[in-house]
Amino acid sequence: MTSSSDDFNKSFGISLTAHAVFIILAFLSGKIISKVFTNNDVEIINSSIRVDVVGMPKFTVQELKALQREPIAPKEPEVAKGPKEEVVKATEDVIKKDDIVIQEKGKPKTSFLSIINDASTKKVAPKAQTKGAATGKSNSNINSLILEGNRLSSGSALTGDFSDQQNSEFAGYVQALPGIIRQNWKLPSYLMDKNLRCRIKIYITVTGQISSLEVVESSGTAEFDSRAQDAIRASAPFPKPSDEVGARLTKSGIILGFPL
Amino acid sequence: MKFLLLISLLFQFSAFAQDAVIAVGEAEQDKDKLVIDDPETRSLSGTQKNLSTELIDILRNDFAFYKHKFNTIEYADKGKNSYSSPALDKWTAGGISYFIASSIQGSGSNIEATFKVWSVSTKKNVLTQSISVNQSNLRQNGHRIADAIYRSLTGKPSIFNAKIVFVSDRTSKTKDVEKELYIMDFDGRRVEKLTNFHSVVISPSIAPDNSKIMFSLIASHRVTTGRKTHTLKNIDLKTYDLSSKTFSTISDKPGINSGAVYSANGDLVYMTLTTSGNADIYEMGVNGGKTRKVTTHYADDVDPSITKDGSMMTFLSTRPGRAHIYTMDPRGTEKDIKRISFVGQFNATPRFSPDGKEIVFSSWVDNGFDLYRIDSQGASVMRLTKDFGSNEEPVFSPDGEFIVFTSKRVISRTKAVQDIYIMNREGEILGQLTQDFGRCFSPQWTNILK
Repeated sequence: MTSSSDDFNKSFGISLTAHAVFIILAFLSGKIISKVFTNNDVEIINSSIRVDVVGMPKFTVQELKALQREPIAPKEPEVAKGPKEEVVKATEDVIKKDDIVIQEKGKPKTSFLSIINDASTKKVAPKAQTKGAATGKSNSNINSLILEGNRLSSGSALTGDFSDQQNSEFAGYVQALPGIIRQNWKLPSYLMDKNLRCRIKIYITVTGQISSLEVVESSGTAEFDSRAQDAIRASAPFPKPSDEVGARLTKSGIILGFPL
Repeated sequence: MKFLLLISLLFQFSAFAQDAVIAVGEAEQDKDKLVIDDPETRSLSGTQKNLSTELIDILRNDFAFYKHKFNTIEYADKGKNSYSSPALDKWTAGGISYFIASSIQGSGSNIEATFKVWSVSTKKNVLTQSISVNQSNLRQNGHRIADAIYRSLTGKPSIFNAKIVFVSDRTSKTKDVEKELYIMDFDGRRVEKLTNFHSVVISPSIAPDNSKIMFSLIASHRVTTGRKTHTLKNIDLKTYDLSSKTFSTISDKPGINSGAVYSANGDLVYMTLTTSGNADIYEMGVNGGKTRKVTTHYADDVDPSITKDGSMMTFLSTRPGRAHIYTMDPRGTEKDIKRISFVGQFNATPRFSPDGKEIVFSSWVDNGFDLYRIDSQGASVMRLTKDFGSNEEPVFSPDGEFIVFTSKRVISRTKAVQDIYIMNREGEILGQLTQDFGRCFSPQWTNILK
């Protein structure tokens, strides 16, 4: 019995070690492959956007622009919400009732896969045409919805990035930054469509101020880099982060990609 | 187990140790500040001085259409020599991107104008161009120099040399409706009448090389059966050759021959025929002849618009019960049919943007039509007009920056006016192009020729 127990322990040990080695190798090779093929050791964070078209839009492009231009009051970031940009705030809850949301049950799960797979930009197919039938809505309700278009749902799960519980607050905060900065992110015609890209690391204090700012990857065009820096400076102060998020941003900072 | 736990922790650590990059996204285009200075002139007569003032006004007015790109600043500091010695340092401080100076001198009934365009930041002279202007070519040459300047600043052609073809009923008598074809500059000036059919012209379309205009006409055909001769009305498809000023008939099949558009290289036309009982879209040679069915559905399919590469067609179909927008590959029959619009009580006149990425269309909302822009994959709908009368027949300009459309205002129970307006692609209305010119319909842009 003893010898067979020893054999079992030995085999179990070998098996465990082999599995561990295999997993490490798989992990490392994945990293290496991703480095080789993407030539990029950073992950790109995009907000996931979910739009349900429920009717012809009520607001014109001009009206939406005017709404975007309104100053955003600094506030605590809302976690796991949709995009901060292009959002027309829903004034009532009509749409949420029959929102067709792809529920990602059991969320939040570990984001390991999503991080490995890079930022997901999974799209949700518009389902407007099935709504009325699916929910048995009366015609008058449908008509009122037709007048209410242009609306983004606050619903769907955040696909892909940073969905760990412990990171979600940080993710929620940093994902709000592009929407704020983009309002000041402007280029003259001669720098548009040039496929330029720069990356700037910023450190944000617990009060939302910029403590320092450095170009970590230049576009090669000084004016493009300085326009990007100007956009960041013009957007400060940012909303006041929570203590944990603030501490992390003060210590490690965050890299902003213009445009990616 | 501890080992496994360690590995799992390692994963987490690696994941967090990565530098995360937050994508800010594409920049919005900042408006370039542009100074169009008054010209430096030398001993001009009264007429020459007027010509010179009008020329600069045309230039400034043209650039005002692109106000989403350029903030045009008029500048008239008399007594300086901005052409011979431009003070570029002064403009750098003012955040000016480009400075346009000119020198004008008289030559009989003409003026000889030379324009210099300076990039203020690089202090480079990006364009020097001369033009001879007299009263008869003033507007044409004014637009020409404005286009040359625009190209030097953006590397792209402008709409300044483009024209708009449209239909108006201004010659209608009380009982008989007459709709004739007209052509005007992009800014609504220099209107010219092209047809005198005393009939109804419908849906013009312009050949890719701008040589011909194709349109439908309610034509009267004399038909003899036995001893009796009577008149039969039919909607025929015709073309007008702009250089020879002659007409020819492409198709006079019994029924409707309408809504025709040219293919990208101009050798084919796509049109609606009702020969099979219901309206379907057909492909035909540019000079008529054999047809090929592009749609075969029993519902009505009308109003085709084709992308520049000829790979995609958008059209209106009643197959879902109401008029909705579809796309398909017109090189086949019912090939890759895709429904694009799902909402709207009644949609009409889908038209591609020049790059084929977007479709602009009108849709009935409340008590009138409004204009919308949609991704040609059906991804997003943007509303362009609201509280601005009833707006129909939108068409993208050849550079994709503008949309012309008709807008109807009801004046009284029996009277309504319908004029052509221009807006930029973001729905900012720039102006009215026709006024007191009857009811205007079906505006179409001529193409920009390289």
